[in-house]
Amino acid sequence: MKQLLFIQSQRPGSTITAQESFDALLAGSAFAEVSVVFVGEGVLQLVIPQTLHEMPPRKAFNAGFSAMPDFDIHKVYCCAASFREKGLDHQTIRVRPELVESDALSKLWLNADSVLCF
Amino acid sequence: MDGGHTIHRVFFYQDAVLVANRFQSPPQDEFDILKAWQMLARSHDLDLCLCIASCLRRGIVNSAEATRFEHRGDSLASGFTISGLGQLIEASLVADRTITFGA
Repeated sequence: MKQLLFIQSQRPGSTITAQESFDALLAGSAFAEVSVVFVGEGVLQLVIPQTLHEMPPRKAFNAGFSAMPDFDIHKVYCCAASFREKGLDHQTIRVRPELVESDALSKLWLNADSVLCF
Repeated sequence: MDGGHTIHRVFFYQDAVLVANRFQSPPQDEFDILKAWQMLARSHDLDLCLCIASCLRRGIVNSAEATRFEHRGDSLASGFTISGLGQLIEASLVADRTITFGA
């Protein structure tokens, strides 16, 4: 089975792009073996929102992250450098991704048949 | 394509679907991205495919969707088809390379 790697780099909030990127991941999981890595501002998608006072109002789509195992999405990674840079900790985030340093990140790239960047 | 490669599909997702809005009228001295895509597709017989969910959020509808949502008229430019995310995944599985732009 082919391996698809989804790169989530969009920050959540004022635009719909992060939510649509998650939709693409779910669609991918129906047809292929997928893994996902959150990088850059994309790591903010993991944060459990404290308030939902965004304008325009958005769905807290990251509630769906907990359903990833049901979609056979088990390989969930997060760029360790971005995780540290944004000051995240495991208490405030939605799922428990495996933190990966940059050399392990490049291995993920190399092992995938296709990489889809969002 | 000049190098001998073939393109299985071009998939438009998120804001990229706005390329297919047939009502855009850029000033004459600006690049007409819609016309450029249509010409490229015609000369190389490309499959230009749009994500339906992205389209519906942004007001890109073909005649079938216009009827379904009771809009007066469609907004989809010719040369494009509206389909689903499955087309992106299928293309990624079939092709030996996947190239994404914009992110």
